[in-house]
Amino acid sequence: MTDATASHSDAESRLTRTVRAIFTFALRKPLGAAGLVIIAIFGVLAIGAPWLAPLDPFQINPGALLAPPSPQYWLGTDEFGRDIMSRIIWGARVSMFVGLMAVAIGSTLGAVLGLVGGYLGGVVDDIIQRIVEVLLAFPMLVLALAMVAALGSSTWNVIMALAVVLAPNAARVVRSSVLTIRERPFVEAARNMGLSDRRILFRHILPNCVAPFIITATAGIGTTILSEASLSFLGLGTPPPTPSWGAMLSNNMHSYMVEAPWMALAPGIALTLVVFGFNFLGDALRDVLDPKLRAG
Amino acid sequence: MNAIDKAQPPILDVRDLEVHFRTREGLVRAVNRVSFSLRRGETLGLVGESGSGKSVTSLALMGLVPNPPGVIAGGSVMFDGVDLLKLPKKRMRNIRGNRMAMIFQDPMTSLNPTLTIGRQLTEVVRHHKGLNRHAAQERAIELLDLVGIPSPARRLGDYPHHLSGGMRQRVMIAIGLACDPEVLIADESTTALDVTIQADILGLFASIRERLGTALILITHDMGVVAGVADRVAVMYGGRIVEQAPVHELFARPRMPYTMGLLRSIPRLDEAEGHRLTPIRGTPPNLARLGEACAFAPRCDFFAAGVCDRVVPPLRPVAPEHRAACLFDVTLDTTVGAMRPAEGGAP
Repeated sequence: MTDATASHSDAESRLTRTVRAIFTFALRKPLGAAGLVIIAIFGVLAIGAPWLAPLDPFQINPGALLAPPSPQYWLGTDEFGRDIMSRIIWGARVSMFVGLMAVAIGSTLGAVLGLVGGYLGGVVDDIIQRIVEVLLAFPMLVLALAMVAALGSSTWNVIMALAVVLAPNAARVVRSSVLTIRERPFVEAARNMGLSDRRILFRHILPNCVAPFIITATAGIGTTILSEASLSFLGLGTPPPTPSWGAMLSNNMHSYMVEAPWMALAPGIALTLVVFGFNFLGDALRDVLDPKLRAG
Repeated sequence: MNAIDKAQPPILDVRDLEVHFRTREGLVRAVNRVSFSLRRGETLGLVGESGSGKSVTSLALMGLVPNPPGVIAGGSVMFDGVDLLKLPKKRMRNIRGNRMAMIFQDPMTSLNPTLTIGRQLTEVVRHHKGLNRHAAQERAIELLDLVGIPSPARRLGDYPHHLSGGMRQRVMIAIGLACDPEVLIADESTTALDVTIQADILGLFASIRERLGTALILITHDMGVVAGVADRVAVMYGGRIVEQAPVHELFARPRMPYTMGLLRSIPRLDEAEGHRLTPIRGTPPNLARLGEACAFAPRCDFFAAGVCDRVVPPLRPVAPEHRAACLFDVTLDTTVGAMRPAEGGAP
């Protein structure tokens, strides 16, 4: 068995193995793969916005106010005559950036807290857990709303507010894995080798918590993007005129819903797709990374 | 057997070690005034059934008794002239895994599943010996070779789940040996393995001792394992050492009824067909309820009412280098009642 494994890894390069892994994933989890594709498309749009957007998203055009979708304006224009297609593409940038940054910062912060609390236990853990519980007691959006209202609305404040909202969840997930992992024999073995606590924590325990961490983080991105949109919808998110899907939705709702439904439909569909994408991916990752299924 | 310099002071000298656990049932005296010593290059078999205090003793030596609920209540562990129990945490960490290493029971769970064999091996040497990546890598290959793993250089990139149980146990031994420890503690290291692999691993221990002069404490409940590898044996029961002797002496002339029971429960090839093994009746004692009595008394075939349930028998010399904790000489064909109970004190 061991020899077979060795020749297997010798014969294949890292790249072909990665490609093979992606194909296996796509075959076993078609929805997850679909999610990945959706995310990839929006990712490309977000990164390539300056080149991919057909028109300037800020360009006001008095000659084409509320124009319906047409060959010139694929998704129509808004009340200022701005091209919605271009605004959606630029808006992808804001949504994805806020979503990913907030999750990255919040989850990392939470993970560190969970890791330290779970490993050290005692008073440190108690204090961290009480803070986490207080934060969890608030509805997510209300807390973010309060923070942005206090900090003032800017993209970074939105990111920080959402990060703080996300951290408790990550802290809990990581802490619970740490609690089980720190009792496993290899941790005791590591202690027996005379390794320091810090080394045991980061080299031996952390890698074993990665799977549940990745799952919660990925699943959190969709919700976070939605929260960013909600904040923008309520006027507390990304300040105008930066195109943001949430703000685009809110501009239109009250006055133009009947006359120009495309104004609300386009950002709504974009938002739905991205959130679906991340949730599908998160679900699929959970199945694939589940340690029980992965063993052996 | 091999060259053990008896003139040299022992590398490890444990005196009156006491480990207590505070539990809801009361104070559990898991290790009760345990004393033994270990010379360089010597192999000591620490034998006893589950719950007899073997593993707690080894954890105490490594300074890893979980606290709370465990407390080291007394005694000393002199390692090369230093009392490990009095050593600050940080200096203890420098000894652990470096000059004194332990190999765990279960090879399937004692390796980190997310790190390669190479990382786990190099980690120890880099940590303790400050080797650079390259030198550590070389050392890792050397170690895997030493423990008999074929094509060691290619194994470094493997994860534990690529290896079989016996292979993993070898890797764990390699990790234990990584820093050339003076004392190696093997806690039930062969228990989880097939008999053939078990024999391989025991052979490996023997060759390591021969080549590196490592002193070995072999913790096991298997008398057969002890007979094959150990120089001396200490039998533990109810948190105490109840008999200690060179291996041949112990197998030839066991003095403590518990040891006799253990020896009788080993299947033998030279026994007549149809012969039934004699188990030790009863169950191990509850360590929270040990009073002033011989812990083995309720299960003992030689039990003497009014004596064995009144006194904790001291570990007393019964022959050169042979000490046993029984008030009577049960090997002699005398009625136990005729003997004076407190014959000879503890040395």
